[in-house]
Amino acid sequence: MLPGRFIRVVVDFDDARALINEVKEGYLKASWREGESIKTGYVLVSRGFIVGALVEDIINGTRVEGEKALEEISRVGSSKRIKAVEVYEANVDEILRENPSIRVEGRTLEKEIPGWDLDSLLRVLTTHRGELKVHNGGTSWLLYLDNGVVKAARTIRGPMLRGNDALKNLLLEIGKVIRSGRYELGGNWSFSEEDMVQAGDVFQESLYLLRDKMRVEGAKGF
Amino acid sequence: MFENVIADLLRVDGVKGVAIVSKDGLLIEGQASDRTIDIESVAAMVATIYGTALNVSNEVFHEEAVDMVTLESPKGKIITVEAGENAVLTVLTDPKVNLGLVRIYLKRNAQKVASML
Repeated sequence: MLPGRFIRVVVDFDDARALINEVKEGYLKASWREGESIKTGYVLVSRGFIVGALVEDIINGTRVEGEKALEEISRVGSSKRIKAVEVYEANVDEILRENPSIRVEGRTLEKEIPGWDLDSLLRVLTTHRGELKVHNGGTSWLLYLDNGVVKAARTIRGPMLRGNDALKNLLLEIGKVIRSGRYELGGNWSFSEEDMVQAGDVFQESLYLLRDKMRVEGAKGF
Repeated sequence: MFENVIADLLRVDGVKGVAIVSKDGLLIEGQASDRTIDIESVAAMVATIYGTALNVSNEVFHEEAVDMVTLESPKGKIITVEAGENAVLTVLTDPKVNLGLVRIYLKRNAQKVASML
């Protein structure tokens, strides 16, 4: 059981994302039956990001932590076996300090991230494995990422480009994406050899540089 | 729907069973960590005990409310609190359970049940 202040219980919820956004600093708690046992899952949330997860088996006294716990909670949640969710306010940093093994890298359930929000994008990219679609209004790119590294790229709207050419084109257009575009997290893409990218880490590095540039400009009031 | 309530109470050391029972004796939801406990029978009996306690309170104190009903036997305890207008929340425990802790969790979770019914 994690420490925290009970806020409210939500019955028949259908939007986990809205609940996560509601919790500034705290956790969501839900229990479900598993055979003859009963399990409780905690999802720790900080500023809209999932930062920790824990599943306790109440009858057998066992627990699963971190990424595995988050996977189990996601699986149970998508099977609609969770009927009620409790919302708690809590000092998440303190909980993670005392239980470091329940930490997960910052995740979001947001499927779309606005172009300017590089902080959110970078937080997701570091652990994201799967598709990322980037839109700037005129052109759209489809990337396959593995923990922040681009493995494959191609355009899905605008000029037909694949592999390194597609990624290079995206980097040239990234300013426009930041100004008026968006990022969309997706599932899995079975890319072909033509879509493969060699220097895939350049995308994440560029985003870090652009984020730092935006911070400096923001601080200077440009 | 009440899995969180049941899990919260079963987590308390010495609690062996939890039931949310309508005041007419129907089990709404329950779970026992001890397989020898027939939670449906307990539900029916708890409703009877609670109803009797209400009658006694009314007769003796002229008060139609009971905060908590506790049955203590050498082999265990049954503690029941009201959970909204139409239900009670009850736990079955070992004889040496920490009563203070159980009361705190019962009261807290009875409010949750009341808000959900």
